[in-house]
Amino acid sequence: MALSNYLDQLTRFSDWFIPADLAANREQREKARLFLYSHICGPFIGGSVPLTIWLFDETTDFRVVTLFASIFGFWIFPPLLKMFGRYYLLSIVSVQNLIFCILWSCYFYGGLSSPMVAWVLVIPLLSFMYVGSSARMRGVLIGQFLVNGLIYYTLCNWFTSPAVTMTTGALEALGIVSTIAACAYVTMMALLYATALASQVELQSEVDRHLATAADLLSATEDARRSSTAKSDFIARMSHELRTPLNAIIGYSEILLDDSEGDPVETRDLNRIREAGKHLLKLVNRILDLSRIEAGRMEKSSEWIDCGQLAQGVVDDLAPAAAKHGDKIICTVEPGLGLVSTDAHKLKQIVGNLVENAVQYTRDGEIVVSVSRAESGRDDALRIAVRDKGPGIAADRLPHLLNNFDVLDDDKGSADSGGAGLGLPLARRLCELIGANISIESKVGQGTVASVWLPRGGAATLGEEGDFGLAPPQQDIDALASLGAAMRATQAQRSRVNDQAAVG
Amino acid sequence: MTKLLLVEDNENNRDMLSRRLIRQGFEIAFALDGPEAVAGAVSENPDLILMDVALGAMSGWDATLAIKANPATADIPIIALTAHALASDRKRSVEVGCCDYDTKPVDFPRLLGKIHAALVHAKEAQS
Repeated sequence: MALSNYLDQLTRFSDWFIPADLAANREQREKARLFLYSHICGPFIGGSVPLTIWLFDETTDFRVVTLFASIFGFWIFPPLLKMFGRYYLLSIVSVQNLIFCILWSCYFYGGLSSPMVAWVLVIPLLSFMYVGSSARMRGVLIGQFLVNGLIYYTLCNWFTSPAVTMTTGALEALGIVSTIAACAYVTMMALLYATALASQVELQSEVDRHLATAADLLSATEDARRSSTAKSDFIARMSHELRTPLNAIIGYSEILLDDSEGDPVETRDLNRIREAGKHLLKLVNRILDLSRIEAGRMEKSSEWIDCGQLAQGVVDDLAPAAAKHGDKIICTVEPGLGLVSTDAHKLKQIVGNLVENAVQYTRDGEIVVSVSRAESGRDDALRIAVRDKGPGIAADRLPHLLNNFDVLDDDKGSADSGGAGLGLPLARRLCELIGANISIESKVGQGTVASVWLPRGGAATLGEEGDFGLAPPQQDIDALASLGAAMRATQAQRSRVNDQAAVG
Repeated sequence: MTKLLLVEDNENNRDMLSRRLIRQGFEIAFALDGPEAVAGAVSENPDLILMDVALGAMSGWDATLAIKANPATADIPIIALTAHALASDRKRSVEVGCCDYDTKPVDFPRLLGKIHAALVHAKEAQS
């Protein structure tokens, strides 16, 4: 416990010397820490050797003073690192100083049989710890060892090793101190290294755990996506199956209506069957469309259309249904809007759903469908708005309206809602599909405005300001021209066949 | 009398549509699948073909291609009937040589309009 406290303090002290750029990289920081540990603690342990020499050697001269100086010189390295960075350069200089200390003391105190020879082992241990995994730096270190070894060997050959002035007993004592100090030093470094390694391993396993979790999440998301697609697929298939018997119900009720002799009760009942069938068909079609969009299988086309005409068409289609509720639909179109390029079928569905929705909730009122240029400031080209004077929608319900399959809680049952619960979410998804924006504003008691904005460029393009009434772009004209040419060619071919048949 | 070849594999749809067309004064011949349609186009020599595209063994598209490939039947106008109003269906019907296209369930008055238009157009092309 106490040891780990000291270690923490040592770490904090060391970290103070680590420059920010080294601290930012985990591997660099660990190396720098080991470097600092050894430089801060090393002189305390290594200093025991010159101290012993100073105590036991009768002649105190430059040899032991130099040794003291170079060992405590290690303390300059932490401030140098703090000031200049240059970690690798400092490591090389530090290793050089270490080699110097060891070879110096070996040379003057016993040569190859010196009690300080044990310290030679410390050199590679520390050096390689400092430089970590850098192959270039390892090469530099090995070169450094060889050069030092060569110089030392040459010096030993040229100058005979000086006579040791210490007594045999003193040398033995120096041997014991030196060996214990070397062991203590290596032990310290090994412990620190092991600690660093353990935290590294812990970090790695933490990273592995996170990676495994991420992989699990990914596969779960993939599963969910797949099952959602399978569900949409199933609904699409089922809806298709449902349409066939519905076709028969609607078709046969129409045949019976054609045949009916004008009996009012029979006609009314047959009409009810037909209307209920059509209603059901509409619901099924909406479900089919929603599931197709969700399964990503809804197709999109693009053609040049007149939105005013499109809106008028929708109004004409729905006028009879509106009349049943006593509603009147008015269509206003700003003049000179020109053409837009969009998916006409989807846009018709969208506007149709909005108008139907307005009709469902308005009694004896007026519904206004207006097509106009989008307000300046909006990045859209065109706005189609559907305004009604119906009961309105409470503010807290508005955000859900386009997302969830809601039906307003009024006294009308869902049978009369015309599938309104599906209509708005479907309109929103269709808008997303053709790149349009949709919004609904409403005030309780005042009515509702549902708007569709067709964006500039991309899905829909409108002529530039002042150039409204713009013709379709050249490639569309070209496409039409080539289609016309192909049709004429086919026609000509057919005529020839006819001529041949007539001749034959 | 104007003769239509109705290619439809569903019995209810076949019965319904044919009864309503007969009431409009058309003579109706039937084909239940693609090969029958190709053979019927030759043997019945109809004025117009109503082609359901979702057939079993041979799709309505393939049957149309085969009918259009035969010089004897190439001039017969064909109206494709599909379950969905997909852009790809519309494109395909033009590619294989159909003169028009409608979706099921049929809106009978609309279909009648398309039939008449196609017949008039075919007559003009012949004269």
